[in-house]
Amino acid sequence: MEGDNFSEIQSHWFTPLQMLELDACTRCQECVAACPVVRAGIPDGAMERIEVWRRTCSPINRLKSFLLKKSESGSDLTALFESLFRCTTCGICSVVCESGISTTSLWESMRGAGRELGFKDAAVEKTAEIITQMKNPYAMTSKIRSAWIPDDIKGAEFAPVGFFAGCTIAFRQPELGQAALRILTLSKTNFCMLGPSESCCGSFLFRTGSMNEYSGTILTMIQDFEKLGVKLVLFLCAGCLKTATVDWPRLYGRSLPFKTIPFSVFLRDLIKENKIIFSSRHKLRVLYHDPCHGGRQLMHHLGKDWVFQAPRDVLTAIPGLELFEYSENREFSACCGAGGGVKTGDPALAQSIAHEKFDFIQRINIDILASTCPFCRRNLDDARIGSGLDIEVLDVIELVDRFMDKENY
Amino acid sequence: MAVHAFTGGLTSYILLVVSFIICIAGFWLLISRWGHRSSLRFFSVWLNESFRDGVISFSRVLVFDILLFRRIWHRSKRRWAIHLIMFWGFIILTAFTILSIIGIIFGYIDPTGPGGNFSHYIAGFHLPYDLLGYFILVGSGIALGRRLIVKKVRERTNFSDFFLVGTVFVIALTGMMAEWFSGYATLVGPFIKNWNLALEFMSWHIYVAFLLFAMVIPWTKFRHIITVPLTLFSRRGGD
Repeated sequence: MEGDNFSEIQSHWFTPLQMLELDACTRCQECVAACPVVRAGIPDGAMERIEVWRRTCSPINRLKSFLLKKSESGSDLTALFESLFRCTTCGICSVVCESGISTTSLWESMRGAGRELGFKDAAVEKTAEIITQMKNPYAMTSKIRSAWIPDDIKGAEFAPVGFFAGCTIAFRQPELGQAALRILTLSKTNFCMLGPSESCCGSFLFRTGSMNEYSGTILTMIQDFEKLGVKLVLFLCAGCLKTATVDWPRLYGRSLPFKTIPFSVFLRDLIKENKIIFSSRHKLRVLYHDPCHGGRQLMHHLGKDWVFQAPRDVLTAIPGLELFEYSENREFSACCGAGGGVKTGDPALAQSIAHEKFDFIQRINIDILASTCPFCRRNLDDARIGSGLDIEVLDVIELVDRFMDKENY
Repeated sequence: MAVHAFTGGLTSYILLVVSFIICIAGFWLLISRWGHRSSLRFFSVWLNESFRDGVISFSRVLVFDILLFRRIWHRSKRRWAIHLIMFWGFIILTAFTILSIIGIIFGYIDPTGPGGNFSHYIAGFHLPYDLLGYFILVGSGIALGRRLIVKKVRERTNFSDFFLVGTVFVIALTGMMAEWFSGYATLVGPFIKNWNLALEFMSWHIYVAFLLFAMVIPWTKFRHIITVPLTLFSRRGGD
């Protein structure tokens, strides 16, 4: 993109409602004040992105371009797309927006538009290509996708409950998946998995506007779950959960043939039914971090009780555990910095955002920082190492697994 | 003051018509753009989304999100109070102005009959009219001052922001100046009465209201008056 072909900018990348939203920004600056990326020192927030796009597409700008035969917007657009690929798509701007603009989907559409216009982020392009070819973002062969599953744990061939592990758990954090399988087995849940035919949920591709021929793989997975007789699918990964809940139905063209359930909701039900019993009291001070993709981005789809309250209920059910909260929590939770492809595209920025969270942690005395997202877990753990704090960063599922009274099953 | 006289004469009426035409044309272009060159397509999508959860949900958004600014309430009570006063102040003042124009026309056609009585009746609403005027003047003055004085806010303010706040401030100021010099203003009374100055400011008030506000709504940031409610309806209050 040389910056002089903005006459190519048309409205087909945006839905009519998104076109309306681009004109609905009142520039109240609430999004700028709340943006974790702006807080980390990157200047252009949501408000500026909308302004640049609006200015570039304005009839006056088009007329000027036509008359002068050149664009003055090339550098503006370059800055806009650089800013877009540094957005964690955490969605806090959407929560604080006075006009109710659905910013996250706007950024995804804008990123797609940017790719078509030639503004491509090298790291994002590489990862998108790997996902399309290898069906996971870690360039691992599909043959070893199920290698994380312990030999002694076997899911059923057909079952009403499905478990979707996701790439990060399969290839990077198998301990989370293994904890989940132990709990499912001990609680005598009749569950099944896709096994080696499980592929990437497509989160990265949706978030970065790179979804292309990969859509067929997702449709196959939906059909595979249907063939297994699955009525509800459990997700441990917040990114996969969001993608399956919000993006898969869009691709599928109708409601999915199964329900998507956060694992913590399932855990809470098991605890209520006394299918999970904890061992004696453990004095622990735990701070809970609400993941963006599994929290505020799903609160209107799955309800606040499921996305915010369920993990807290699970944690407080563990005897002796004292739960602490961030000053900004639930829908106003500050992003950990790992989302939207930022951990891949700009790891230093992801860490810088995560360190902001540790400024708060340093002021309170806790033992464990808990979350329900493997990306948050990873990025916050990296930041923990940098901070030198003597705490653990764990997933809620690990805490439940650790404190379950396994001898009584 | 506008309660007393729509003094611009023929010029004002021409302005009114031209502003109205330019404003409507602007909205038609805007809506066509939203609907990918088809205003019908936009309305079809918008209606479908806005009423997806039924009329009760639509009414809830209208009352809580649009008329009572629920989203701003959640963020800041102070901002909410300012927004509520400014919004309702502007709406009520506009309603008063429209009523007064109708009253003046009736009074002109039929000065001694029901038209004249209506005109005098409308002229009796000085106190609420004045109070709302003060609210808007102070509110827009604070908003303008914040953008000029507070460095962080100033750096993120562009011309369109200044235009919006500045226009509201100028409309409010010229209207209040006309009111003060008319001798009828609450708090000020007849002490600085100067009918010529009052008419002068009234003319400015009308010109600014038409040329910098009514006419340019769809062409400037003022379009948010329409786009924000439309967005809130279609996003069902942002939920």
